[in-house]
Amino acid sequence: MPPQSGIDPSASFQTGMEGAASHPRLSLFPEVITLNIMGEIAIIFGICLVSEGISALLPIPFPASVISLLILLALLLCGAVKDRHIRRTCGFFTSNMAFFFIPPCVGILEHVSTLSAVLVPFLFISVITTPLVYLVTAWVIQLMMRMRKGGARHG
Amino acid sequence: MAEAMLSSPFFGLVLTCVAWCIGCWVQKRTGIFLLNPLVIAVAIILAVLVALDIPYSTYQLGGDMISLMLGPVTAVLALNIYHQRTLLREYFWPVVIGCLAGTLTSVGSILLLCRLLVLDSSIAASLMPKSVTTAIAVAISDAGGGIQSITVAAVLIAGAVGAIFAPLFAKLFRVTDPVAEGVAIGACSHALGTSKAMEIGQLQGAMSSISICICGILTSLLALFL
Repeated sequence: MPPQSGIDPSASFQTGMEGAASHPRLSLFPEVITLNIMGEIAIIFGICLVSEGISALLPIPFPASVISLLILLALLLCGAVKDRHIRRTCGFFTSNMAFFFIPPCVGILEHVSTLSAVLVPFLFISVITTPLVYLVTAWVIQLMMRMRKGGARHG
Repeated sequence: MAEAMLSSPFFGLVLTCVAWCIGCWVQKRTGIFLLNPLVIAVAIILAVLVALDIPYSTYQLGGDMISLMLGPVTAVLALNIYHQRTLLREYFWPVVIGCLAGTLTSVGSILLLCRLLVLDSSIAASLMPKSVTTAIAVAISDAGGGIQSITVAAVLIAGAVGAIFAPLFAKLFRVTDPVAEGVAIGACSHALGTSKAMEIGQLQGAMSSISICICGILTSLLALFL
């Protein structure tokens, strides 16, 4: 069997959080790949798992997906999880992001009757409020930038 | 044989993958943004289900496995934020306050219009998070008693409008600063708009993805009080 490029099967139980440099075989491999892909998946799914638990514990309804985002961000910022530990999995998800939204969209089929009852107001609201949000956001930021620049000049 | 195939999650999985590939191919060949892979894939799947009289529950067996991945899809946005952290630190307050303003505008205008047009509260709950990325929007909508499918439809339209008209908005509203442009795109049209933002410029794309996350978080927090 041809050798797998740069992936050591015996590294499958490594979490990558202990120093990869201490593992004699891994240090021979390119810096980019230190984890078996299952390890990457374990990290991402593990965070999602924990987030589900936290979301259930919270007294208020807060989406578990946002919690998992915050947890992953915190882990990245403190260095517990590094870019190379999750790069491939993240790349897979972000490069095909819209794909994962297909099933909910198809689910509209189930609610066609509800939607058609409110189709016109629904479309009206969706189409009008979008540029409104764009406008307010952009102007507030530009205003703050101008204030900041003005302050810097006089300050 | 057909029954066994239809009671397998693979049916939904394969149908979705094939439809997606066709959608990507069509967009590449025609280059028309309105014909984005998501819209085409959904159209194909709906056509197949309706034409062959296959109940949605059959598709759902496979579809649920895919939508389970929405959690990880949201989580991995963190990596992009992490990569942009120096930019974010520099423009922190303008970006955050801009997102806050945009979020308040979005939620406020939707609630106002829903009340004016006398719409059901579940419709309002479904439409409310329409400016944030689908994974978060669906979660907020669920928590607020909204209808998932309407939320997804609203998110799609918001995304499409933003993505198609972003350059027009920039000209119309005289937005010259790239950071402002990027954040605004992400605030009103989330991930779909971000793909357009990345076409406009690296900085805009980066700011747009940060804006998705901040607006998502802000909208989640805001939804708690409604």
